[in-house]
Amino acid sequence: MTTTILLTLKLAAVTTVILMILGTPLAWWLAKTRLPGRSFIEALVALPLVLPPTVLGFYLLVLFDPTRPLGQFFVQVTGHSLAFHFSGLVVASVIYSLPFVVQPLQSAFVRLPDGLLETARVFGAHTLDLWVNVIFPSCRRAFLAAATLAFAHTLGEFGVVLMIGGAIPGETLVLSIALFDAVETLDLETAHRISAILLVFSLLLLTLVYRSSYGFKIRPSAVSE
Amino acid sequence: MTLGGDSLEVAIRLAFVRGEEGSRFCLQTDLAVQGICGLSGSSGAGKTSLLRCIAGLPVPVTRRRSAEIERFRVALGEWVWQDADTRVPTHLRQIGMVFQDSRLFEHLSVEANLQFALNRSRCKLRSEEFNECLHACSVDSLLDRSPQSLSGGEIQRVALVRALAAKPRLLLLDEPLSALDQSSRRSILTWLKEYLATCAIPVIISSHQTEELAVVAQQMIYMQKGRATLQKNSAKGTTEPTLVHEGASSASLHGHMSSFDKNTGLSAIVVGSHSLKMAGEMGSPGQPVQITVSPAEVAIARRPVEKSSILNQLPVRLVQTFARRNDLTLLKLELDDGQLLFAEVTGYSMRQLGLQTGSRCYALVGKIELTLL
Repeated sequence: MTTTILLTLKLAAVTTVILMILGTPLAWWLAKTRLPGRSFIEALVALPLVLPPTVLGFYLLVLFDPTRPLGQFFVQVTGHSLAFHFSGLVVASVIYSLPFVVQPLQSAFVRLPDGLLETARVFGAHTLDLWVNVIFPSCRRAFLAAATLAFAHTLGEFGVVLMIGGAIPGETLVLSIALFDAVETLDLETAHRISAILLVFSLLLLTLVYRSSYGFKIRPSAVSE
Repeated sequence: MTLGGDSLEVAIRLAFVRGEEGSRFCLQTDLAVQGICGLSGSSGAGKTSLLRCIAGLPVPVTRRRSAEIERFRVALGEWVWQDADTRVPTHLRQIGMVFQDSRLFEHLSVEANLQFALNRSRCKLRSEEFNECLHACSVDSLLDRSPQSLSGGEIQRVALVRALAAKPRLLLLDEPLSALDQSSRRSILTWLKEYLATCAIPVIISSHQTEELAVVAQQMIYMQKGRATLQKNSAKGTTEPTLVHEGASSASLHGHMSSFDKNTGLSAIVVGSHSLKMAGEMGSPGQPVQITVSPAEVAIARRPVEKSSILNQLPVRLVQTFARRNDLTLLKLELDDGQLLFAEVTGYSMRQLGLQTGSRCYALVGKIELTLL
């Protein structure tokens, strides 16, 4: 049980870190570009919101097949297959939770006034300085929301994991799968415990997200304007 | 006073499509400015576009790739910022800028906003210089506040101090004090003039208050439909009138305060060998002042006028006339000590009074504006 909880948290944490690194430039590009291909990329990013996770899992399974180029390449480099392995779960989770990171960041970047960046430039800020001292603090609530949603959403994924991960304890057995197994074997006590853990934890995380976004709207100084 | 700092050379010919309706706009300048330079012109004349070009920021183009550059050269002294094969990015130009909408960083306190500029400047501002800026712009009491809690005027003052805190090589101020009341605006402008002269930082200040600007500026750029013309203010500090720009021919007279008469409630101001009167007690005797007179406030008489509500009559000599729109003529008048005054009269009055170059007459001065120096 502890192994399963730790594995689930590890998956969520690794996924969140990777998503923040990949999602930030992608969201920036989507917010600033005027290229015609933008809507297609936006649709692609949003796809996991509407697609049954099993469909995503199925295509990933096909892609991870060691006889195909990507699967073969991964086996050559790491010595093991992506399917039924922790790294495969990470890849799947990153794709699956991508919209939860990209969308809040993109809308924050769209709202960020161009004038703010110009002003920072005028006063001598180079690109990294701009990100660290202007963009990140100005959008810190969006970054917090994106990270929390990515984390919470990864905790709750089931269909994709079922398709590509199996249920190898310590490797791919996460809480949602353990719950499914417990119900199947009529171990209702374990099922209750796992459900309660996921419920309470998700509720806490979402409360954190909403609190930070409300804080944004009713900041006392903004009310006095 | 000598002109401070490097000379800024701006030679631009740039056509682009802007605005909601997508009208074509052509920015044309060929200037070299130095010291304190005013920038005036009606809304949409291209003042902000000119400042943005100097700063290396993109002009507000409606459609992509709609800008046609024929010439683009911006250089500060020997340092070429932009021409056919050079382009120094904005963040390396060491500029201090106040934007029309101020643009404080809302995620930072006032103090942190100022620190943002201080930390990134190449040439560090000394703490006594910084304190002087804080004090002169009355920002010292606002340091702990957040930008959202400031009034429009306070925001502009903070933005000005932030631009000064960068200790820039060039200062660009786009309507920096428009939200301030007249008296604070004047006192800050007067202080700014002195402060910038000691730092030798060239500055371009745009404003709709052309007359106030003319008091501090050593040169004026007038913009009309994207075309910029430069006028140097004469050594006496008098703004030469321009035929291009209407309403920019206010005269600035220099003099000093004399006594205040309690019985009449009038202060006397000595200008040359004459004395002007103004209601209210101002300044202290001997204090130098600058008087700004709009040409619309000056009437002409061939003889002194008796029993009139006009307080001030000055004997003058007509030195030059400029034809203006609607049969109006602008008269350039010289006082006996050589200072210049301008009056606007109709063609009818010109003929009626028989005015010619060299004529002696009296300038009846209505409203005057006083700046204590």
